[in-house]
Amino acid sequence: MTPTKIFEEVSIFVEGNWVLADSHRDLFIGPKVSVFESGRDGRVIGVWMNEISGKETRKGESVNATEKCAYFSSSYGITKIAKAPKMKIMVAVKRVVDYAVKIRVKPDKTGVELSNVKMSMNPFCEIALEEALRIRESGLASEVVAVSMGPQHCVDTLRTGLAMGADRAIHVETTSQLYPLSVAKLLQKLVDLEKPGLLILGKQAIDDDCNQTGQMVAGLLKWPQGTFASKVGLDKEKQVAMVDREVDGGLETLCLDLPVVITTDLRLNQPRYATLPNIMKAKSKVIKKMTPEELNVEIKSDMEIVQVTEPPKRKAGVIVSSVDELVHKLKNEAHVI
Amino acid sequence: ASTLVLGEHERGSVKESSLSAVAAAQAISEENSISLLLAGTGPSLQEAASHAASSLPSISQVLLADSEDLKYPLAETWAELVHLVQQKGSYSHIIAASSSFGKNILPRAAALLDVSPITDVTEISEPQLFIRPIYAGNALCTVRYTGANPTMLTIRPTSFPVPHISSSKNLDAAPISQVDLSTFSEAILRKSRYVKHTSQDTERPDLGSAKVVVTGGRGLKSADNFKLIEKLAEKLGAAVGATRAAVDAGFVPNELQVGQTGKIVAPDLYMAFGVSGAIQHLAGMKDSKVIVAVNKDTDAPIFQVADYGLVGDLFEVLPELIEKLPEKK
Repeated sequence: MTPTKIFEEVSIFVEGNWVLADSHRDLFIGPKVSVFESGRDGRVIGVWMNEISGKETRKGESVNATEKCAYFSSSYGITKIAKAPKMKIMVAVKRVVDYAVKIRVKPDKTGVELSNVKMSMNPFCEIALEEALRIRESGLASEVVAVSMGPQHCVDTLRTGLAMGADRAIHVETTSQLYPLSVAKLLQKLVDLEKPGLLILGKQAIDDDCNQTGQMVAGLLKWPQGTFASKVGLDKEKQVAMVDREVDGGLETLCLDLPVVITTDLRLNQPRYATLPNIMKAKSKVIKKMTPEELNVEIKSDMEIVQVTEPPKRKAGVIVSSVDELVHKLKNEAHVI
Repeated sequence: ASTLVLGEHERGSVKESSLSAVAAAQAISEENSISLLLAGTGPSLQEAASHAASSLPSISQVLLADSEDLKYPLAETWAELVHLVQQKGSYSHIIAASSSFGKNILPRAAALLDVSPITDVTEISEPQLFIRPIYAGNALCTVRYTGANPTMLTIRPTSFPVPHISSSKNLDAAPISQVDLSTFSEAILRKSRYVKHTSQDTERPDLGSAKVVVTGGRGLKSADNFKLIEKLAEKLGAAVGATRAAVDAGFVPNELQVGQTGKIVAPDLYMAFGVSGAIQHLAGMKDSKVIVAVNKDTDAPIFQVADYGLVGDLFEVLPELIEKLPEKK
């Protein structure tokens, strides 16, 4: 048995059973050692144990890419390896003030009134999740994992994501103030754990309007980034994503090697509504809890919100009664034409 | 203070938005030493560099990164470049315009430098004190950066007008130096490839920097009717804008969208036709100096920000305006 390069999810025949193992990286499994994860340069970078495994660890061992399959198969009793066109998609979602709410600045200028205000999933995150679901439904991915960071209430947003169709969710719970850099670091650690082939985020959250997290996590992971995407096409054979990006002067098309970070623009898709049966079903789906400490991320606060104020109001204008009056005023009062 | 400005150039000159970033750098402090970083390859890059060096009195040097790898402004390569240049130059500030170029690149570069960026800044009060709009401009947030150097910002170009450049004066040209790219990490570079760029080329001025913007909303009803907007824009020498509703309905391409998630504009004159005035749209244009709104709905929120409102049918008003407004030379 000499399989070609194996990416992403692989099905492996072990002791008469097909075992599913998934990663965007090469994977090997054998009755003695469980799953080997190896980087593209052939270096074994991690080992997972399973029930049928011994306790052997081979972290850091270097293996020739073409020889490794044969090597592992003879050493560890792998009998068959099959390539399956599957991968995992991770989607980050944020809980924000609903887009239709007219926000009020608190009188003490410490922020925006958030109590008794309707909260929803950030609209760009809905688009990100919708895109992930469509990719899964097209057969190009096997699982969609929704993740969110912040206080206990983020669970509501994750439930919404599960009701839309995400398979499971991870909540990194913290009451600390989270800035995009910290969120990016948490996401980086979750990616290390979950090993998705795609990480999709909204391009910005409609509360702080930062537009940073996707770019930052892509930088930390050293993955290519396709930001402000209005079209995403996956080519499984070539292991690339073709992304149309909305840029100032039109559209830009990039070809990016998987794994990749994508941030969504408005026109990528129309998110679905969660149906009642799916809302019911979502209640039994798993939301895993984690903490920044478990992920070994220190939450830095290198910014201080000095104050939040109302923007200056425009002074009331006038209603003119005719085009002639408008032209006259623009010419002689406003002096703009 | 010493500031690195990430510059975008096109056809041999530095883009207007990047000149705003230079203007913002000047706002940090009087004795700011400003370095303008330009990247790309070929004669167009050289031309942009020598033009910037000789026409921008506020900059102390131009840094030139000339490489085939930097031919297109990809975030992956640019972020590595910024990282490299910062390691050598130890700047106190790094600034880019919050154009699609700066928004794409600067946060990634910040992550490589383990720094929290502050994006879409509209006012620089002190070297570490900034104002930026949040909630689609419905609140203004004053932020103090307390982290390590460099302070990394993207600035909103409309908030930092470009001073007039006296082209006649032959001032001492700023030195141009090449960035040493020999240690440029190439690992990431091949993973991201530019394929193409598509745009609707027009003779009209750029939406982001036009003095006059004429915008159409859902009220235009069709792509065909939108030609009325274009006709008026042509007469006024104006750029054409659109609301999200008009873009979603397919009247015009997305690049014309004005709003929270589209372009932010602040022209001398903004004329809105058939625009209701959703807060997301207002976020993109309410800093315009004079706003004119034409809508048949008296209660349309756009009238609350308009200096001159006209309640009426835009299909009657537009042709009349086209006829009666003076031609822009």
